[in-house]
Amino acid sequence: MLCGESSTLEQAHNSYKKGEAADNFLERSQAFNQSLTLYKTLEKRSQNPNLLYNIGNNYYQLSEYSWARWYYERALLQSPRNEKILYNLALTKEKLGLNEEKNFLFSAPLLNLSIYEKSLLLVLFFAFAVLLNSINLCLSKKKIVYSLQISILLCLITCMSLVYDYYLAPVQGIVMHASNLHRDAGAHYALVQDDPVLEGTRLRVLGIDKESSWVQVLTLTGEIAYLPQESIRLVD
Amino acid sequence: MVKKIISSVCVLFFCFSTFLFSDPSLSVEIQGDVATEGSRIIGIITVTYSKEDGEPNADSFLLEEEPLNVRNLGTSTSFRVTEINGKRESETTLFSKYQFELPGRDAGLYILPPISVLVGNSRIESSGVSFEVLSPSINPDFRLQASIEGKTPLYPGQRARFTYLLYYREAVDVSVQELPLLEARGFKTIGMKTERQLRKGQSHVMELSQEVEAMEPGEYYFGPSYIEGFAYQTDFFGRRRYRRPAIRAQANTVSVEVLPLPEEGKPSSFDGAIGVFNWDVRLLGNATLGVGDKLQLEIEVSGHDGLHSVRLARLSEQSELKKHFRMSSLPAQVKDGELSKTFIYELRPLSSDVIEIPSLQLSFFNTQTKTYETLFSNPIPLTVENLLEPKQTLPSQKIASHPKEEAEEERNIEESLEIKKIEILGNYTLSSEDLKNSWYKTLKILWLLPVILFCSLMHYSLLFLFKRKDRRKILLAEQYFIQANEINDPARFFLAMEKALITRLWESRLLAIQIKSYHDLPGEGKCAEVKQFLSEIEEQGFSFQQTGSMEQMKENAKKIFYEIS
Repeated sequence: MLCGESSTLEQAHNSYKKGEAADNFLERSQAFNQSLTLYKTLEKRSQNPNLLYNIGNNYYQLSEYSWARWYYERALLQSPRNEKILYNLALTKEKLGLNEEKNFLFSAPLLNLSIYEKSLLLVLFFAFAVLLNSINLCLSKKKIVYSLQISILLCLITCMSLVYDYYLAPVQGIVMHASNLHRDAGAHYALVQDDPVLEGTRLRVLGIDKESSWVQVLTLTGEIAYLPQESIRLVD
Repeated sequence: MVKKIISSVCVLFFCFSTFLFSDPSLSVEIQGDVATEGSRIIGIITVTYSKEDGEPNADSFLLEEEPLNVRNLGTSTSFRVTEINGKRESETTLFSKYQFELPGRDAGLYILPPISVLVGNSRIESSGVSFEVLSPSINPDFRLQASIEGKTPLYPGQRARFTYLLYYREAVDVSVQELPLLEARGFKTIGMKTERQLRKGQSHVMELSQEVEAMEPGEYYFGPSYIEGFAYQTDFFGRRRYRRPAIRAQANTVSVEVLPLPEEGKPSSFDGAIGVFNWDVRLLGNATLGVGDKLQLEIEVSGHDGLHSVRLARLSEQSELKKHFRMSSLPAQVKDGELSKTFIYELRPLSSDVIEIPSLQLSFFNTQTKTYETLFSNPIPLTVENLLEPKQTLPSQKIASHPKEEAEEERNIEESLEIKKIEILGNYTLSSEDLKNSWYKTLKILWLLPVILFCSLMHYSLLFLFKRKDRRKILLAEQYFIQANEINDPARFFLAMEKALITRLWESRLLAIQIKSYHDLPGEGKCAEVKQFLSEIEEQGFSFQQTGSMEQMKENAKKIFYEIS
């Protein structure tokens, strides 16, 4: 299995390199398509951010910018400070003609951690706090007590941030192809805005109506709207 | 507030009821909606009116301008009282019923023409009523009707619904059935057959239907269809009591004609769309883009019937579009609406010479006029920019001016198209190790929290137990000390205090082993202090006989004892 995976990864990488070096459109398109097909076979087995980034790159090269963005955003969830992903994502947004405002609160360095990094930090802080508490029981020193208090505080902050990320953070979705926004779950309802929402736009998802297969979203202007489920993909 | 709401509701209800009953009305009903062939057809007329309208004139009933003899069955009255802002108003509605008879007719479906009557000075009229006359061989309580819903004759690709209606009054256990319409041989069945339970008059109706699509031209016959079974009733204990003999419901043979689509006047862009349609072609997104960039074209086809047959399969073959755009190899996204069907196509302009999306064609066979029609969309202007200077530009005129070389040139278009510079940062080189989902890189790492918690609890428990043991030992030294303080005899006091202090030293881990005599105490730290203290008492030779000296000694011993920790 591992041997097969290695071989697929190697072939996919070589195809991508071939696509980059191609000197005509058709050859390039074929190479990137082949690379994409190979990477996609591995996607089910692993959600490694670098793999998602590579898939996003292939989509970008094939001018499927909304798909590229979806993969970049998913990779970014796991690796939020990865500069390569951030750079390519910015280019993708430019290609899509999108100018989205950056969320400054969540781009702060301390909070800009992935859920897995936060989990690791929580475990480390917790272990440190337990260790300090044990030492404090044997050697009652003021410095140890202060350190213990700080580590408990850090533990709590990390825990709250993790709970927010896991349960309370808004779910985001990427519009995969331009779609009209309706006032309710159905094409017969009135439009929220005259123009369809552009492909690649990131919208906040409020809920999914499983019966009608429509998704409730918050538009960029803050209005509640609905669009068909096939038009949007969740970033999770 | 409540009064106001009640008043408003009353006003609305009054207005509504006034609207409903302000004019007299007439309704007609044929008993059970069926009659038997040859026997007279009996119907009931109900006239609804108010006192102000005047009485209906029983001699003034007309059916197709001919007088209709009726028998008055009586009049019933309905009172309604309304109270608006304390003002009480009453209204009376009258319902007069009349029976009429019509001569018998042959078996078949009929529509009874409107019947009119004079109420006061105005003549009111009923709407047409349908009814069925059954042949005497048909049991009105168990009968089968076969029909085709939709326009006939059909054309290949057109859809219709084949339906059976089974009327029954009692539950029937079906033993034999032949329902060829549901099998629809020669037609393509669409989806599963559907079953619905309805009620008509005193009969239950089971509707069985199947949507079908015509395939080949020809004349198709289905039938006769029949259902045979035993009627039954269920007794108190849930047992079925069957009635004999078996009953049979039969429907006549139904024929459907499928006509071939005419070859004459068939446009080249026709791809099987049958019906009456309209369309709207729109560009989604920006009209300014680069060579090779994707653009989305939305085509919304609207119509009341036959939308399923619209596929736009030959859109990509339309020459102008094919020349200047590369169509996505993926099929178009299709969204089915109630009265519309939307297609979203992805195109990429092949050169900067493209200035518009050309006029597109939608051809269909109009089932109303029985002719082919073609709709043309308006061209959509585009601005296609060359992001990089192309090595070679393919002028569109050149493509158009050499039709024989067209195929070869088209094949070369994509190959010769100038490719863009690589803009993004490259891929990661991954190994199979990267694809492993290590537990510490997932939320599984949180399982360490209860493990750490458990370990720490174990640690605290052990520590607690250890300290409890220590406390007990310290209590033992204290016990010896208290006992020593109670002694006033110097010799016994010395021995007791020696035991208490040595135990205290041992409990405080200042002594590694328990010793018997203070002479064995090490000469360092607290042990040395204790050794010196005990040696002083011994040197004094128990001379502190006086009460004051004894008390002083005890104070000193206490000080030393509690200094040991």
